[in-house]
Amino acid sequence: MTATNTLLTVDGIELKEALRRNQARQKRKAFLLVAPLLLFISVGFFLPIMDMLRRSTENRLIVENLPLTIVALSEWDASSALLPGEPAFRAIAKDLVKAQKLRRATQLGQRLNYELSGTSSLFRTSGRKMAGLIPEAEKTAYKETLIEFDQRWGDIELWRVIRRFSGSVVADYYLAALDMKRDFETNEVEILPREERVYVRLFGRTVMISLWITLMTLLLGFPIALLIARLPTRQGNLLLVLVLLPFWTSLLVRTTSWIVLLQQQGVVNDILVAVGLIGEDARLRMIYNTIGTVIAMTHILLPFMVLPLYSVMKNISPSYMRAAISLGAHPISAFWKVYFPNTIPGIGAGAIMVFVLAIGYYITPELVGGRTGVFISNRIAYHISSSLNWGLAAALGVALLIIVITIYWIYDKFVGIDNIRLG
Amino acid sequence: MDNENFVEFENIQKSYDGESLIVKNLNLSVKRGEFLTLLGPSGSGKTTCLLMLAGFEAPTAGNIKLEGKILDSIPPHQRDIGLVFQNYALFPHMTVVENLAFPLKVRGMQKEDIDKKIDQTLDMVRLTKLRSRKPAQLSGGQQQRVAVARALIFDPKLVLMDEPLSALDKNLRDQMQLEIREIHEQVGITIVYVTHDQAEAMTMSSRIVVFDDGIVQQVDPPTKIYEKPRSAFVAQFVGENNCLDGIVDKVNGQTCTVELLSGEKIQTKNSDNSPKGTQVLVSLRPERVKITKSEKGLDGCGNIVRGKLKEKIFLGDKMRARFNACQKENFVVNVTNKEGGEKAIETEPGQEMWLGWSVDDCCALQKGKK
Repeated sequence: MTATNTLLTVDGIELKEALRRNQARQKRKAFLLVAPLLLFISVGFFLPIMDMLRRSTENRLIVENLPLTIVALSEWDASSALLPGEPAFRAIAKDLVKAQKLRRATQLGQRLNYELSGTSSLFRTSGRKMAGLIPEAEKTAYKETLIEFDQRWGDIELWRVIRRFSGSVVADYYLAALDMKRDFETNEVEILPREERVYVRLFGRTVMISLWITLMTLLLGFPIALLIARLPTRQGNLLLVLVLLPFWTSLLVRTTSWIVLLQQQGVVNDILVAVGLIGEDARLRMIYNTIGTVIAMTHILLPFMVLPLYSVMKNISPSYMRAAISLGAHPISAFWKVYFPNTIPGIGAGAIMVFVLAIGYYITPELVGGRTGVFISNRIAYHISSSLNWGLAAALGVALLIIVITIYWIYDKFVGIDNIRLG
Repeated sequence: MDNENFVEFENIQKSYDGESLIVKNLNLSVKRGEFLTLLGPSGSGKTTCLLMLAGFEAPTAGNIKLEGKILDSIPPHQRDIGLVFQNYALFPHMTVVENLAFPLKVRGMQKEDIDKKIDQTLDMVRLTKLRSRKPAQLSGGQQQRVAVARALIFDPKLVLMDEPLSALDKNLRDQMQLEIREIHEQVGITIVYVTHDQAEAMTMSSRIVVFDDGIVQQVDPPTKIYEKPRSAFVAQFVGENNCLDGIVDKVNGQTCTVELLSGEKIQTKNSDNSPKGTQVLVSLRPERVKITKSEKGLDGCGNIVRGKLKEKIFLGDKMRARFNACQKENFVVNVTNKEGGEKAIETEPGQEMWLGWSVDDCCALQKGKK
């Protein structure tokens, strides 16, 4: 048969075409059902992430407010030991006057202060006075006038920083997020001295504590899920409600009650002292540190481990265990070789859920983490609400996003994402 | 070794809640090499018996012996009893070969021996081509064959099967019945089989144990169960049956005369040796009844009654006719389809006919006897 044999319906329409028309209606319906959520997600989730990506590299504040300076500095060799010439000083004076009118000078100084401390106050004072200095500077020279007004204008580092940040896209927030900086003289990337490194260690700690929390929820959740799955429905449901009970209590209440329990003058310590297990002077430090974060977050995230485990276990037929035992396996060996492997999809689902929730957790580590138990998200929040370094906060956020995606990828590679089952 | 009493249930009682007995005083022995089927409606205690034998339930009272040894203290994994489940219970994370290797590995067999044994077994159940598939990639019938193979591969002392075919469709079920029977004949192993399907029990068993309400009603080969039911329950549960209520009017040696509720008097075998005045059920198989348009065709029939034909149902191999006779709305007669089409019964519904059967084809069973 050489001719292509297209199937026709009774009406003579091509079968594929008829089927397509048939399904188009259904697809339209399906799309309409999804549309509100799609809109919500793109506005509430996708766009903010895009914005975060943009902010982590943007440099608009400097580029827009120092246009003349950037042009004037373009000729200057930053690696030379000489200050830039008169035109650059004149340009920055003009730029500052304009920025002051727009009330941006202080903001600009704060931005440059991330790169070179002291710049904030320099820009604040100079911004206020600059308009008054210009007539004199016009008569003599801008360079001398400015340096006379504040000698920090004669610091070559300041000019190198401005020169460095004259592009519209910069990677320096990411360098900061990875505890690195650029030497503005040689333009080389170097790692910060040990005592100044913050973020890499914090990322490492966040991942480690999250892994601990995941492990703890698994160790505590597995037997409970097993018990609930094996109990008769009535009792099982009752236990399940108890497991879910924390969900119905405010997160803050749960977290602060751990403070009450675990602090040094708290319930647990009081009991231990009263029983005589520890001395009055040796009360345990169980809160405001890593232990506190692990305990409180294990408690809070436990249901996310128990639920997928339970729903997977509920679907494992009890006859598997019976079959394994009847085939001669000791009950313990039957459990490990037959029952346990079938719970892995539930373990995977629970572990990923707990880990991903933990790694981005904010409120609980903030309240009970103290100095050693805080997460990267607490640092991000600090940069957003206190230091106002949104660019760095965005870069840290992107780094966190990359870590989560990487872990997801590793999981998919070695366990397989299809292996996740919620029931 | 005593082949007659390979497995013995002695005065077994089982209760789950301490209030009612699921199994009431079971005494039963299984012969070595036989295919014994426990047949009964759901909830009659047959699966419980199987679980007790396998060791997953403990008898509340009494002993179970295997080869003369009391099983009580032996945990299920040391009993050497193969088990085939209704839902197959193949391990979903293992391939066919891994499933079959499981019982051999836990017994610490050498790898070469395991491979050899698996090859043999796969050959026996004709699954060699599917050896590296996971259970989810097999059809129901194939899964069932793997499950049977897995229960046989470690040469257990006996194999228990708990309604293993109930999840299959009818054609496949019929085919699997024959296959399991064939395997049983080939291997010569003792099989205890649980089912609620009486046709399945008939097809496969050397002996059938009919259960009802935790009590054994009859233990006999299939033909005897069908032809000589010992109680009204067995007569009704195994095969089709017309049960006519009546009272024994006169006893004549092995037979008796029963006066039916409708007033007709019937000659029948007196299976329970019931004395005069006993309430009995007369059991009569539908295929034993002859029907004619006039009384003449029924020479030699010990019992003749008149009935009104209500309905004819064509079933292919036979024609089923429902009569209104002996005050029963549902007096069923089966006529084999030998001549084709509608010829088995040409009379139209609504007309009167004569029904006749011989004295040997019916029996009077005491009502409510357990």
